[in-house]
Parts: sequence; structure tokens; C-alpha cells
Amino acid sequence: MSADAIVATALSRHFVGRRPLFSAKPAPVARAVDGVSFRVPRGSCFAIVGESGSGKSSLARLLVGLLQPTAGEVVVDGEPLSALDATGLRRLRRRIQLVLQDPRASLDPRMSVFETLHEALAVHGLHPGRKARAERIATTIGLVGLSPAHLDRFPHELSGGQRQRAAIARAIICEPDILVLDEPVSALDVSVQAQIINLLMELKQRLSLTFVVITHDLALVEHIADAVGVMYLGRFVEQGAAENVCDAPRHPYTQSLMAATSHAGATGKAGVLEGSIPSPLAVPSGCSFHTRCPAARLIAARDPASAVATPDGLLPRRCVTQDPVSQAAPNGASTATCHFQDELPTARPQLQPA
Amino acid sequence: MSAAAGTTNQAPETGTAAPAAAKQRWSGLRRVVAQPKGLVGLTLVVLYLLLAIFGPLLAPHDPFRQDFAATLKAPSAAHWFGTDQLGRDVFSRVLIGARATLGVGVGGVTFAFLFGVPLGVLAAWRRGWIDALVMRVIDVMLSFPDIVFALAIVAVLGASTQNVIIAVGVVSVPIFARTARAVTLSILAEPYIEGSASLGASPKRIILRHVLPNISGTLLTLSTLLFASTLLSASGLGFLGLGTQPPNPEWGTMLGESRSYIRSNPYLATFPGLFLAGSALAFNLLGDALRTIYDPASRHAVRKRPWLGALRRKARPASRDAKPEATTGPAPAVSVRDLRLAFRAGSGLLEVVRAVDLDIQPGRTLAVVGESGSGKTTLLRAIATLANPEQVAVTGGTILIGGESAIDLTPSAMMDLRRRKIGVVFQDAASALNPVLTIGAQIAEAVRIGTDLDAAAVRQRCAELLSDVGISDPERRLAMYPHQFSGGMKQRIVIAIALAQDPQLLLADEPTSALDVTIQQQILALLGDIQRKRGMAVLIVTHDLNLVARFADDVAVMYAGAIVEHGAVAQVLDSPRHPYTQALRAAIPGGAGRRGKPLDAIGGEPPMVGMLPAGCAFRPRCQRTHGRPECGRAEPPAEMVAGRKVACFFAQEGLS
Ligand SMILES: Nc1ncnc2c1ncn2[C@@H]1O[C@H](COP(=O)(O)OP(=O)(O)OP(=O)(O)O)[C@@H](O)[C@H]1O
Ligand SMILES: Nc1ncnc2c1ncn2[C@@H]1O[C@H](COP(=O)(O)OP(=O)(O)OP(=O)(O)O)[C@@H](O)[C@H]1O
Ligand code: SF4
Ligand code: SF4
Ligand SMILES: [Mg+2]
Ligand SMILES: [Mg+2]
Repeated sequence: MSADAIVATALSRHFVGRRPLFSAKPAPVARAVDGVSFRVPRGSCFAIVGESGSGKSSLARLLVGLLQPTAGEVVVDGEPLSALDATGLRRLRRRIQLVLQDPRASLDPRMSVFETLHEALAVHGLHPGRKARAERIATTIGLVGLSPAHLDRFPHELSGGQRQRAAIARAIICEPDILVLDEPVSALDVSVQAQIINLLMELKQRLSLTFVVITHDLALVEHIADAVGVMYLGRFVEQGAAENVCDAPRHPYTQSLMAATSHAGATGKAGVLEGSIPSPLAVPSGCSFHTRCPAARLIAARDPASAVATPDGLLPRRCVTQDPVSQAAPNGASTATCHFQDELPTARPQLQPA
Repeated sequence: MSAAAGTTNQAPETGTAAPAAAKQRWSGLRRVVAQPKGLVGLTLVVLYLLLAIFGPLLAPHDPFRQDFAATLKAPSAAHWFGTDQLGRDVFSRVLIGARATLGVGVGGVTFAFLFGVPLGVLAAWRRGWIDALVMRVIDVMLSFPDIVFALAIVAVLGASTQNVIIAVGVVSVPIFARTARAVTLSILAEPYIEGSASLGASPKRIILRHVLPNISGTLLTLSTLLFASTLLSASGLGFLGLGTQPPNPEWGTMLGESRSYIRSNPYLATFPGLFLAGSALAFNLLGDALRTIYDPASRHAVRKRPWLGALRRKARPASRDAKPEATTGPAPAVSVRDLRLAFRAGSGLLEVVRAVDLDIQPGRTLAVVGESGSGKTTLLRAIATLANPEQVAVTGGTILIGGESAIDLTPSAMMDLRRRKIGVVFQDAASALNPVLTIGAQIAEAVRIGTDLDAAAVRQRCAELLSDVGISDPERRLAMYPHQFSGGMKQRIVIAIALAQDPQLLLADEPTSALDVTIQQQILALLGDIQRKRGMAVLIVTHDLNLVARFADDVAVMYAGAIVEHGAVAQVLDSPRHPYTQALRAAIPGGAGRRGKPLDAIGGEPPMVGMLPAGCAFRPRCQRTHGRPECGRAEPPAEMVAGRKVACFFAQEGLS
């Protein structure tokens, strides 16, 4: 067994659209995930953060083999996914479980919570016997903070948070080694959220579970993650140890993400990024963040000689024309993909008083 | 909030879920008989089936006995339907013929079902060349008229009952295959299929356990509808002498035999004809009723209704103190008084929303926060007039929307109110979108309501809405389907749809829970803008206290169906007075210093619906009660304390 639970190498997934009829234009290609590499050591928690539409869920599907990569490879527990046949993949699924983003939609409307959990056990032939299974189901449902009375409910008879917990119960009931959670707590109120996070951290310690957590909640990242990858338009623009990335972000995108996070009770409006994430059908040239990068605008203003005028304002030429490569920070704990990362202030900007 | 004392003494034995499951199983049947056409159709179908089973026992005469002394007799007391050219009793022959006639129908539909459905499911599952091949063959088969096709088959196979079944069955195979393929495709696009695939379920299991149960309603409907046409095709063949062979009676064959006597003895054709037409009608009515229930397009439109609704209205206690337009200022956009909502469970009513009062003035925002399961969504759906009356009962109180009551409206008045005034963003965005329609079509539908823009202008408006909610490249993306968008994008599309109708009241259930701060700010800024411009009132359900702090004017904290603290945001969040609100504040993650430490979850379990503890509902988890007897005696009334309403006997004890 390798020390890494998951290794992703140059992973890409491009969605090819339908070519418009009677048009010479090529079919549109959406670069949802574009050359992502990272490794998750066994027993650690890796967080993926990024704006809505940056490719996080697509990456999660790639990790568990629900999507086939267009390029690159995923190795789970030393086994490359591409080498597994359908049966092998299904067997692997017991050990790597995905909790999908939308809890209501991911539960079969015609199955009660009990049937849903029972199916998970039946599929993998775990805990054979009626009584053993019922017991296992009762324990699991308690772990996620639901009561046995919820077992006979159908998804539409549960509240949003209860459905989310049912989905988490389904994932942990087979005792997987790796859990991929897509926005696991965003549908939950703070108190249940705390309960679930505590449960996940406990599982991590007790069973040395490996986590990949997708979230947009940076406070959560700081709280539970060991390492983090910051995604923008299908790529990791910064990755490394969680405390380094959160406390001393080096990429302008990460910096603005951190600036926008406000902690408990803060009421001010933090400076947030303007504009919206470009479509993966038309990724900007050079550094894909240049259409919104606040740092690039400052640098261009400081040094107009090497700047060019673009529809998005005056920008450094390199940002518009040249793809930045990922470089390690001086302390080696993180890497960022920005031409000017060494010229930016790294202190965590504008932290709101707690 | 009015005094809520003594409202919570539901016996704890309520809420067993077995009856709920049974109810679910029978709800299809109940919804059929709730429609007049369903009731008539179902009754007739049952009668016909009884006829097929017991017909031979009921026949007063031997249907095969010929009596040349009494040929072609008109109907009489001895021979109710008269006698035919061989002197056989027509009534007995009609009774006996039921089995053959309906049998051909059943056989034909079964044949078509058994071949068509697997073919369609297979095509949808495998896609690729199998799909292309199946679809081509189906297209070719469908290009022949039914009866011609069936005739050709019988001509090749020879005339017999069995071959008629095959012929009419084969004719219906393409229709089954095509429908099964279409519904399977849409089910396969549902995220729960992906969910069970990621669980490791095998394809066989996914098809048998997840796809088939979910398409069964549509297939049942189709079978019933096709039954009628199959019956007619089969009888057509019988009429042409290609079906059941004499002397065995079958309604179509009997019609055929009576051809020569149609002038002189019309009753010979009348009775078999009536029975045949009646059975086709019966199955058609039933199929139609089933279609209203299972057809995705009409799923949300028709629910239940007529006479049941009227009875229910009477059973409800008359609503108290509805006093509209008495005050001077502008009418609040929403005004809820003493609202009580309960779920209908097998064992009675389970109260989920208990005596809720709230008002929102135009242009203001009220945030409702509270623990998962505390009844926020149920409250919001009731205000949106979307509570399903089969599941939720309004047991008391009033809801006024812009001064109009929103309770007990007729379906058309309800639609009208909704269309004119209310925009809703549901909690689970992905399931609020139709997986088989492009999002352009879905936004356009909302835009067209209430405007008469031309197609180009509608499209333009759709694109604007998309970019308003921060989705770039809108022109190209309008043509994409929901599954091609990310979770947060779907949530924003749902917001765009709600805004498209230009509502006076926006009800948003966790509208930004899947969005990062950047987009969240943009959406909130957009909402704020619309609010300022048009005075839209917003009720937002959320668990994000940061969002409440930034965006809302007032906040109502719900616990176990009641509002426990209600007031201006600054006051309630900065210095909460109710112990529950205080605990909520303490459970927020954040602060680099606390990394890896457990969060302060609120100890204990939230109460189950309908099983509240006596006295204050929060007592078992309360840090403040210290076992004081007051808390166990009665539910604390909401009282003004430090500028907000708090429902706690010891609210004066303030900050802990
Ligand atoms: N099947 C598909 N076909 C075409 N484009 C797709 C498809 N699936 C995803 N995309 C596109 O890929 C991009 C990334 O989507 P993804 O669901 O991975 O985002 P995400 O980071 O999870 O966002 P969110 O936080 O909103 O869930 C989006 O722009 C989306 O439109
Ligand atoms: N059809 C139903 N039959 C019985 N109980 C139900 C039904 N629907 C919901 N419930 C229960 O009613 C309670 C309130 O549900 P509701 O969806 O209003 O909660 P909520 O406050 O919106 O929670 P969340 O924040 O998790 O979405 C929950 O405990 C739920 O289990
Ligand atoms: S390379 Fe230029 S545009 Fe890209 S993040 Fe760095 S400064 Fe901004
Ligand atoms: S102190 Fe008593 S009344 Fe107040 S919240 Fe606690 S239990 Fe309820
Ligand atoms: Mg996602
Ligand atoms: Mg809810």
C-alpha cells in the first residue's frame, strides 16, 4: 500500500459540446478541469476551494471515477483508476465514497432513508443478516444526528439538513477509507454543521480516514484541512499546507478570497472581487485570472511601460500573453501560479476582527 | 408573537412512520379517484374486468346453442339483446365475449410492454449505436398505419386469437420503446442515479431499483391508454374476420358477423358495439386520470381537489381576527398572524409551525434562521401558497400577501396570486429545474408570464438575467441543460427564474448556501438593488449568520416551529437574549486560533416534530434553565425585552 490515498497527475476533463449545425466553427470545448496535480496522504484532509463554477465538483467526480478524464491520471491507494474494469471500479467504490452536492436530488425519491442505507450495505454485501444490518443502520443514523424515527421517512418528508445528513450516513455506512465530500455542510445550520464537522474529524482520527472536502467556506478549510488547493477556471492557482495558504496567501485570487471571508459577527462589507468567473468555454489568454486580477491592475499602474491596454483595463503584458507556471514559495510550503507572486504582500489582508 | 402557552401537549405516540409509508403507496389510487374522470374510468374498468371474470357464470343461455326456430329475434324478456342469425342468445354471447375481447387487449399490451420497455431502457442506458439502431427501427415501424401493419402480420401468421395478440402487440412495441427510452433518459439525468452509481451499485441494480420504480407511473399510464387502442385494433381485425374464429364470440367478430343484418336487425351490431366503445372509453378515462398524476409536465399543476377540498375547508376552524387594511401605512407585503401548520400523519396531525407572527414591509428583508428541521421551509412554502394540502394542514391563523388572504384559495386564484406577487427560490436548486429542458426554455417561461415580449426580446431578457446572477457567456449557455451547470450555477439560475417574474415578494430558501462569498455578495447586491428600485420585500431562510448580518433588516430565530427571538438584526445578533440564539452564535467555525478543535455544537437532540417536551421546547438543551420549575410548566410567551421579542422566562438574565 502506498502512503498516498489519492494521487492526481495532470488531470483534465474537457466537455465537448455539440457543434452548431451549418456552422464552420469548431465544437465548443468547456475546460472544466485543466491539468490539476496533487496528492493526498493517507489520513489527511485535503480541501478544494474556489468560486462557483471553477470545476470543483467535476474534479470530485474524476477522483471517484464517475467521470473519465480527457487527460492525466488518478491513482487511488496505488491503483490507477484507468486500469480498473467496471467490476474493479465498483469494488473500489466501497473504499472511496462521494457525497454529492445536492442532497435532495441525490436521494431516490421512492426510497425511505432505511431503504437507501440498506441498499448501500446490500450492494457491497456488508453486515449480512437482517438484524446485523438494522443495527448498523441504527448506529450510523445516530452518528449523523438523526433519530431512528427518520428511517421510515421519504426524502420529501425530511428537511434540507436532514436530507444532507442522510446522504452523509449513506457514505459512511460502508466504512470507506476515503471520503470525498462536495459541500458537505453548506446546507446545514451552524449547530448541526458543528456536529457533522466534529464527527468527520473524529472519524479521521479514529479510523484514519482520508478526506477530500470541497467547500467555499474558508473558515471551514482553516478549521479542518491539512492541505488546500485553490481552484480557478479548472486549475489550481495555489496549493499547499492549509495554514500557509490561509494565513499567507501568495496568489492574488487566494488573497481576494481570504479578504472576502469575514468571521463571526463581522458586519462590514469586505472588498470582494468584481465581475464573474469567465466561462470555461472561453478561457482568457495568458493568466486566466487577468480579467479580474486586482494585483495586475496595481502592477500595471506602477509600471505602465510594460503594460498593455485591454478591454479589462491596463494590465501587465506578461499577464495577458504568458501562461504563468507554478512556483514554490520561499519556505516551500505552498506553490502559486502567478508571474508576480514575489512582488505581492503576503500578509493576510483585511482580516475582520472576530 | 402571541402567547403560545399550552399549545404543545401532543402525545408522544404520534409520528409512527409505517402508516406514512402505506399512505404513500395508496396515494396514487386516492389521486385517481379524486378526479371525476378517474373515478368513472376506474369504476368502469373494474366492472369490465368483473364481466370478463364472471361473464360465463352469468350467461342465462348457452351461447353456442343454435335454435333455428328463433333466429334474428328482437330483444325480449327471454333474450335481452335478441338472438342472432343462428338463434343464439346475443346477451350470453356478449357476456362470454368479454373474456376474449379484453383478453386480446391485455395480451397485446403485455406483449408490447414486455418487448418495448426493455428495448427502450436498453437504448437509453447504452446510448451509442444500439440507441441509434433502435430509434431507426422504431421510426420505420411507426411510419405504417397501425391497422395496416397489424393486418400484414396476421396475413403472414394466419388468423387466430393468438396471432391477433401478437399483431396488435407488435404494433404497440415502438410506442412503448420510445416512451420508455424518453423517461429513462430523464431519470438517468437525475443526480440520485449518479448517487447510487458512486455508491458502487451495479447497472442491473440501478435499472431495477431506481429507474424502473420511477418510470412505472408513466408506463402504467401509457399501458392504460394503449389498452383502448389495442382493443379497437383487435376488434378491427375481428371485424374483418381475422381474429377470434367462429363460433367463439368476441365483440369485434360479432360486429363483423352482424354486418349483413345491419339494416334489418340493427340491435345485433348495437350491443357488442356499445360494450366495445364503453370499454375503450373506460380505459381512456382512467389513462387520462393517471396521466394528470404521472406526466411530468402536469405534475405540479394538478394535485387533488374538488369535493375533498370543500370538506377540508369546512373542517378547519374559522380563521380568527383577519383585519386587513385597517392600519394607515402601506400594507405590509406579508403579514402572518398566529399561523399554525401541521403535517398529516397516519396517526393524526403533527404540528410543525406553532403560532408564528411576522410582518415584512415592502422593501425590507426578514431573515429566518434556526436549526435544521425547525420548520423554516414549511413556513416559507405555506406563505408561497405552495404547501401541498395533502401533506400540510393549516390548523390556524392567517397569511395576508399584499392584503390578500393566501389560505384556502381555489387553484386558479392561487396561481394568479403566485404569478402576480410571489417569486420563490427553493432550497434544493438542482431538483427545482427540469432536467430535460434547456435553462433558456425554463427562464423564458418565467419571463413570458405577464409580458407580451416577442421571442427576440424574451431571449435578450433571459441573457440579461443570467449575467445579472453572474453567469458569463449567457448567450451560449442558454442552450445548455441543467446537468451541464455547476451546483452554484443552478442555484443562481433558480434565482434568475424567481426574479424574472418581477415579484413583489421574494421568498428565498437558502438561496446562497452553495455560493462562495464573492458570488454571494454579488447576488445580495443584485437583490438589494431590485429591492430599492421596486420595493420588493424579501423573506430569506438561511443558516448563515454572516449573511444575515450583512443583508437583512430583521431576523426571526426559529426553534421547534416557534419564533423564539425576533427583532432588528443589530440587536439580536450583537446581544442575543434567548439561550438558543446565544448557542447558535457560539457554534460558528472560524478564527485561526481554533483550528482542529471541536466546535461548540449545541448539546442534545432537536425535538422530533410532534414530540415536544412539556413547557419550554428548548428546556432539555438549555444552558440557562438550571432546572427551574417555571421552564417545565408552560411555554414562555414572547415578550419585549431590550428592544426585541424573546420567548424565555429568564430573558432578563441576558448575555451568558
Ligand atoms: N456535462 C457538462 N457539460 C458541459 N459543461 C459542464 C458539464 N459539467 C460541468 N460543466 C461546466 O464546468 C464548469 C465547472 O463545473 P463544476 O460543477 O465542476 O463547478 P463547481 O466548482 O463544482 O461549482 P459550484 O461551486 O457552483 O458547485 C462549469 O462552468 C460548468 O458549466
Ligand atoms: N411530509 C412530511 N411529513 C412529516 N414530517 C415532515 C414532512 N416534511 C417535513 N417534515 C418534518 O418537519 C420538520 C420541519 O421541516 P422543514 O423542512 O420545514 O425544516 P427546515 O427548518 O427547513 O430545516 P432545514 O434547515 O434542514 O431545511 C422536519 O423535522 C421534517 O422532518
Ligand atoms: S499572473 Fe498577473 S493576472 Fe495572473 S494572478 Fe498574477 S498578477 Fe494576476
Ligand atoms: S431558560 Fe427556561 S424558558 Fe428560557 S429558554 Fe431556557 S428553558 Fe426556555
Ligand atoms: Mg459543485
Ligand atoms: Mg429547509
